[in-house]
Amino acid sequence: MRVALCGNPNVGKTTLFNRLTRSSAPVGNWHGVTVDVIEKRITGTDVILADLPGCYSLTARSKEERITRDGVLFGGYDVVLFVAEVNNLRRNLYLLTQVLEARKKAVLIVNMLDEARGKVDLELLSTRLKIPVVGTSERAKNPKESVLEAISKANAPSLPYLNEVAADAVARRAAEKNISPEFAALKLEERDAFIADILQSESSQRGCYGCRGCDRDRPSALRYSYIDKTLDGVVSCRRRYALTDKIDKIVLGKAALPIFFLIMTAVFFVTFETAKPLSSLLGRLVSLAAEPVKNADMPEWLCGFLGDGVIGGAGAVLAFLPQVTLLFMLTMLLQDSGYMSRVAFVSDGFFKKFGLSGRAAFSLILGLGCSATAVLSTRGIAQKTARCRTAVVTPFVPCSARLGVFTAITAYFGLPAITVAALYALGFVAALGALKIMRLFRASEGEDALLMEMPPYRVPSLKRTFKAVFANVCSFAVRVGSVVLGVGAAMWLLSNFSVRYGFTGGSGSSIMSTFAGALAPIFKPLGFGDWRAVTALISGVAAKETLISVISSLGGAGEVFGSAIAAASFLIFSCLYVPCVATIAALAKETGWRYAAVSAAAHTVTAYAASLIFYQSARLAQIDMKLFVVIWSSVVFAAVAAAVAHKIYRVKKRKGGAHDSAARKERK
Amino acid sequence: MNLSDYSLKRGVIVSVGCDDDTHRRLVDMGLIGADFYIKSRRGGAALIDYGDFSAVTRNALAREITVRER
Repeated sequence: MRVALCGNPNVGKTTLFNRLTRSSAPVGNWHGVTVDVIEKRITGTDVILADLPGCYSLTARSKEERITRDGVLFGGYDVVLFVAEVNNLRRNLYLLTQVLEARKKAVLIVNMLDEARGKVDLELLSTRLKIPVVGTSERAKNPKESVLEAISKANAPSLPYLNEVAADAVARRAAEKNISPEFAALKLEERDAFIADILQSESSQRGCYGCRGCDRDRPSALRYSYIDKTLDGVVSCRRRYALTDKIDKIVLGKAALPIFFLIMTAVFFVTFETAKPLSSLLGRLVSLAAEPVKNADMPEWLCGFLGDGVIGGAGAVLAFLPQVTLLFMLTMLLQDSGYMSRVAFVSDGFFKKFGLSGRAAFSLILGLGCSATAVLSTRGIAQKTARCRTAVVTPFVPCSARLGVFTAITAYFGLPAITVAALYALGFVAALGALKIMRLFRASEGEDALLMEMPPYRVPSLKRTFKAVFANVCSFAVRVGSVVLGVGAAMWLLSNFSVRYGFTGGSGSSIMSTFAGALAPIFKPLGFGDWRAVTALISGVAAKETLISVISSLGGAGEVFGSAIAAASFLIFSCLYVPCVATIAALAKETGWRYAAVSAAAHTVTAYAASLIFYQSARLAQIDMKLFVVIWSSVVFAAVAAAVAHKIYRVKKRKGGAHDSAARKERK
Repeated sequence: MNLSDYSLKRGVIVSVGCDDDTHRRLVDMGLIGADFYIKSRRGGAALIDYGDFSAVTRNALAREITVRER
């Protein structure tokens, strides 16, 4: 039996899915966490459960909504397990009415009962809807048994208002396409282009722009009238979200931006400073573990391979597990509390200048964890141009894998913690710069006019947070044990063996030194023209963690870079250059190969330019401070002059435009 | 009076305009006839409580929503 889990966004569908199937799919207190269908068997049964992305209606607007619509209508599911939030039943049941109109067997799960703002009579609700209703909450025991029982009793009742729907020619065409005639009739009345196309309906039946209150709203009026009658006496005594209102008054007030920066600074400070001692302890343990292997009574190449290539390489990445864990945990707590959604509101005005909405902030912040996941999360953005732009620039935000690289190299050269913060800032600035440039080439499609729902504040569930952090840590460890270990070991072998001489002990005649050595002159102006640094950059395309793993196995940061300035230049390059393979694949999936290729090229060119400017300026400052000041003052002066000239030109153009239109009016 | 120019904090939504897709979404969300409360205004958007849920509403959209005093 196949069952679809469906409902509005942020009602706890994936949390329920995880409980029923014992999975660890990502969850969060915001909209658009699930962007694709996840299917898994309910433990101990033959029921396959599919978690569909959240949507408000079966009239789809974005890519993820189309996935849900197609899943419900044509996915061939036997039952729809409809999840509704107890405090928002009226709006949630609206989608359920459409599922029932489509004659799908359904079960209603009323979730978050522990947060109910009044009494809810579930038995009465079940009697009125004529489908099984199960109440649950995250803190209650696993509802598996009651859900399975309800699935066996699932029903597809005929809704009373469907008698009012005229379905003649539509009925015949709908029956041919295996769609409920009443549902098709209502959707046509709403001018749903998708259903109109399927039924080859007249184009005149499609939308009329700017109309206010014509009969295209009749279907929704029928549904809401039915829902209001159904809920009469079911829900009583509604209190307001008093706590949410109070917190919103503070965090969305005049001090909204300082509060946001304060919170983000605290997140970074706690991540780096708290985890430092544990990280250095792990580093020492790795060295201790590698020492006996290096000195063991084995062939020299095997000692080196196991000690440096395997234990040293993977261990160098594992040493930064405390930082990565803390960053995961703190961002998860912020997401779960509902604050991250507010960031979208706080940053909306800012992102508007770059042709995006505050919704883009979700994806950029998710990019702090994993760029590939963040790219997939852009599906929730309805406008194609905005979606593609957000996906293209999201990998500029340094992911958790790069955090290990930053921390390891800055710690080796004793660079201050602010260097890491500056690298994160550089990533965000590069993303915004790229957005601005993209806007110059192609204008936006106009504002995304959609309402963006804000979840109420919730006390983060520690159990869920730890589960999510554990899942992320496990996935990090698996990456270290598979991709990082594999690529690191392969790179060590290629860097220490030559086709002609066999084991070379890392000398200049190895396979990798010949190949990477040919590319090294390109990176000389950036300060790291060493073949080992180039080898690390090549391996970083597989997974960013391997950067530090390879550097560590090929002699360490000190030997590879030689100076702190060269290391800082390498950090800038690794912060911005081409994203990992997983992210490029996600980009290609979401935006097409053309955008993915443009993104990879743009990242590398930006990285090269930023590193070149930094390294050459730093060298100049060392050699001739006076010349350095003169050059940079001239650059800043020229930039300010260009900005002022551009502003004056725009003001004149606007005035000219206004004058022309006034003259035209006068002539008329 | 549209929601963007509305100077009071509370009111009732009378009708919504917008393009077909957005109109459909707003109607599906149950906005017609809903009471609202403007929690915060920021730049080109406002955070509005529509009774059962709060949502960020950009000014471009707010201009298409006709409201009246409660």
